[in-house]
Amino acid sequence: MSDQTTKITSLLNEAKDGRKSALDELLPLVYSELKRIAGKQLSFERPNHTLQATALVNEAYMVLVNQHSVDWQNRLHFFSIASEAMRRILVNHAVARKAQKRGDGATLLSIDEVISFPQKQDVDLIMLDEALTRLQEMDEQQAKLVEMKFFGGLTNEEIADFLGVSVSTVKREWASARAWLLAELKN
Amino acid sequence: MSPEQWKQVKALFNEAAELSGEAQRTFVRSIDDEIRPQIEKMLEAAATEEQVLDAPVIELGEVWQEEQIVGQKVGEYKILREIGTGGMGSVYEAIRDDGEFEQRVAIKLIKSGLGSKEISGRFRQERQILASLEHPHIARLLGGGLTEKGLPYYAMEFIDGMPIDEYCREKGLTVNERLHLFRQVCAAVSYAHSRLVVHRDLKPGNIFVNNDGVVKLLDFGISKVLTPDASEMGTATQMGIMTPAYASPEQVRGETVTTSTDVYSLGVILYELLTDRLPYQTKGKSIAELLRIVSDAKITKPSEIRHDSLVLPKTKGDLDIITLKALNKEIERRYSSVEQFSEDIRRYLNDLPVSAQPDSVVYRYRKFLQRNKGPVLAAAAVFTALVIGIVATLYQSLAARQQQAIAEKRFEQVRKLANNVVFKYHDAIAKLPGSTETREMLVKDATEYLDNLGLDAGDNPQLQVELAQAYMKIGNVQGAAYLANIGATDQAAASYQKSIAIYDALLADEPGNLTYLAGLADAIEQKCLVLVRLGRWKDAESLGERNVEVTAKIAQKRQGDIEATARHVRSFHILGDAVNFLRGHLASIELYKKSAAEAESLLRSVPEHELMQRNLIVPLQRMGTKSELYAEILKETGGSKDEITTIYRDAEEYHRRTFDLANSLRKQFPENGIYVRYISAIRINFGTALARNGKGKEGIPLIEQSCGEFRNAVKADPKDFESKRDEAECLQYLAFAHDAAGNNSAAIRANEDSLRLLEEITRNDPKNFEFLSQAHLTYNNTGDILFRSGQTAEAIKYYKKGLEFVGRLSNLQNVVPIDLLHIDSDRKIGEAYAEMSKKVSSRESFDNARTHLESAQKVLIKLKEKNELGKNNEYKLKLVEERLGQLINSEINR
Repeated sequence: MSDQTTKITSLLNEAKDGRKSALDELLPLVYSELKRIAGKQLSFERPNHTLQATALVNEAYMVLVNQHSVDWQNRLHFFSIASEAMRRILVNHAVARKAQKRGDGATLLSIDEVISFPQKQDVDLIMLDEALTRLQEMDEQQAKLVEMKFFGGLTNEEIADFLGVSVSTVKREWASARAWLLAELKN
Repeated sequence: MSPEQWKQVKALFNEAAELSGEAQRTFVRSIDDEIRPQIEKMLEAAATEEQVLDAPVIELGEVWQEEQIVGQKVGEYKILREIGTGGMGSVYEAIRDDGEFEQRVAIKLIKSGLGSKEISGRFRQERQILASLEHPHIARLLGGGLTEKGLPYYAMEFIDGMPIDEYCREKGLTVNERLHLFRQVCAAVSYAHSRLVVHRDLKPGNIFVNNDGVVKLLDFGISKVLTPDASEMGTATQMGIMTPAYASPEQVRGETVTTSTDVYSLGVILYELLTDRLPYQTKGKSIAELLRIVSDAKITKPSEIRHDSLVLPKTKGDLDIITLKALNKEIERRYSSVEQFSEDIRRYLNDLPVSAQPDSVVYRYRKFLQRNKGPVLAAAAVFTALVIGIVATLYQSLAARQQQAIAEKRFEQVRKLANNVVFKYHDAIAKLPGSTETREMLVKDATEYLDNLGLDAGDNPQLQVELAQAYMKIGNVQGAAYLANIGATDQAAASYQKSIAIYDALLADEPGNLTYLAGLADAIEQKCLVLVRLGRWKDAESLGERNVEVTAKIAQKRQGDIEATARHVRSFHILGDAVNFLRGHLASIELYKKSAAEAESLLRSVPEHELMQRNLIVPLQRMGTKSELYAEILKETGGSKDEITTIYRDAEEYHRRTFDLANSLRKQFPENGIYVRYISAIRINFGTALARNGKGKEGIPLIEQSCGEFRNAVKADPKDFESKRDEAECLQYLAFAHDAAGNNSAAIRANEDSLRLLEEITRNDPKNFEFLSQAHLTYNNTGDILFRSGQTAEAIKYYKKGLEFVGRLSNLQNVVPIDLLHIDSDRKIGEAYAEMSKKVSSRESFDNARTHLESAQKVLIKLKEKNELGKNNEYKLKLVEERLGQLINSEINR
């Protein structure tokens, strides 16, 4: 087991035991691991694999977490972190695209893409990110829920498990967050 | 909204959302006026059809969702069991049960590089065509879509049977029986080709024989749906879908897929059916090896392979020829259609002469020649194939032709990753404060990728060129003037050097190759610019000279090519920058003049050439600035007043012309955003030059205009630290101008404004050389104004603040000699104390003056001995020594 794995596994266990800052420490590790794995995948060891963000995150999980010493709850913690990492990656990506459109730094930006980012062209990720940040200030847990659902695609059950609330609470909280965000995006 | 208010809003919204119609309206009316609009907005949003938030951008839980899929419903189908799993995804047996009749189907859940939304879009596009493929030997596509969890799937007719190779083995079929079966496969593929559908992924696993002995092809057209288009994904991302063992050489190379591709794959399948072996061993091979195999390796004739259970008949020669013709590496030597292929097998079965002929020696020789003539010919070959082959069945245009090799693809992938990491993420975070370290990491990673890649690139010139270009891009980011930490500048030089080394090696083999020369010129130019910023003057100068030579060579070879000439013209002003430090302003100005004169004369024939106009503007602007700097030296060293006045007047003219030309350029190319900042900057130079010549009324408003523009940019994006830096610099010029106009207090105010900005941005990015040295300069300038107006003590305060910034700079890697900044601080502080000690005879002032001046002297001598002082700074040593002498004399006299 690598040092990295040991570190992440123990951070996950600490997070489960309620040390909230453990999650913050996890984020950069996960983020950089996503990047590293992207690089490894591109070495074409397995020509049948395209680089897919989901697969990437899953592989990061397999690589990073010693699965014998973490449980389901930890897996959810990991995916909650990954949701946040994906939010950052996607929003940065959107910012870069926007900058590109504006023509800033035109000589430096490349249009090439390698990671097949899902391109949700129908939602302005930058605006959404800003609105979500505002929601975070009003209700942190609700914002986390949105992050896991929208940027991580986790199910209501999984989110309920992670947040330690009932599924119906998740649904209700999602409904009000969704309505608020849509209203914000409309403005 | 505060968290408490939000709690209240949420509760009311939840309550209202449970109601509908009039009940809801009544409830909403009862809500306080303050909160009601918010609730109404939310209810309205909730009621709209807006779905943007409903499909997640990514599904992290996909893996275990898949595990649980058996027993679930997918669309109208109920999943019964998993049949198999592969690279593309898993296959399930499912049943459609709408009460009336039951239908068994195969459901494939797809894992692909494409987002689920794109896949479903492509399905919609393709479904009609695919569903229209009605043929006894093709399994029908029944539908497709997204599962509830958003995973793409498609449903196919369920085939109860086994793959064709297994079937042949299990039933112990004879050669002729196998050939008959194979012709059914050909019939199906030929039919699809006539409907303009190429399979792209033919292999035994996709060819089933059902219990009645009837062939059924699966997955027709699917691989097209799953393969990103060149136009959508950039080059060479067509990976992942094909199965290496059955992939045609052109597929491996990532080129256009045509019906010939299917012919080739059918050839592999026939070979396998006849020999139980694959023509090439592809298992466990790297992409580079695979590429070599499909382009070079010779195939053993089927009849030469011992087959335990199958004895090839006496007329084996014909079967060899047929199989090898289908497997020809060159498209135009293959069967031009599946029908022809199948027809030859029929003729063989009926003992008729076959159309295929073995390769002649002449043909082989020609092929050898062709193979070695490189990509241009390969492109021509593809083109010929397109014309000769069934042009009508093409999906792709020649323009979309993908790159030559998968090795290149891999290369491309890594290059793109490097691009992504460096350019997208780097630029995305570059403007965020304090991102320097993260950016350093990004660039470091990307460089590592490239270095590893260099080891794999071998001596393939195309890959080498790609690599050289990638190093250029990395260098550009490492050396980006304002964005990057200056610490990366030396790494930028190293990256450019790697690029130069690659081109040099390539040119050693092909000295006249223009592509290489042009690449080399690019790399040399960029490295030269970076060396100037690094203060590696000697290297910069010799590289600048090399730049002149190389660009001259290109321009000579490309007579009449205005771009090439433009590059050559530019090489002179770049050399002008390079020689400035060691040979002085006058030497630089000479080179700028040469550059400007050339550009001007060329512009007569192409007055609207954008690059050439810039080639005139840049040296003119430099002539202006360097003249002013030279005049400053003359002022300090007691040069003649007339000479100084003339120089300032010339400088004003240079700046005026620059300004006019830049404005005209912007009018001609309004879409080019860079001219906005360009003009802001040039306007400042012009305004300052006017103010210096006593035309402050004309000049100051110009500078103020630019400052305003930068300020607006800052307002628009408070995190835009580049614009803040621009505004800070602009304010310094405003201070210059006010100072020149004798308006001391306005000058100091402008500098104070500038310093406020600089303090902020240096706090946010404490390692940025540009920001720190700006702050140093501004403190010194403010000190100068105060000093000249007799406020010596006050001036010293500012100088000392400036010195603090030198201290902060010395913590950084030594880039531009920080010693020189140190000297300036010490000189100024020393002179100020010297001045002070004149007025009030204080031992302390004298000591301070002496300490600082001696410190400056010491460093000046050190630099001079190392030959690092520079022509433009030589006078400083003389001045410092004079001042020291005066100081000590006056103390003795006292």
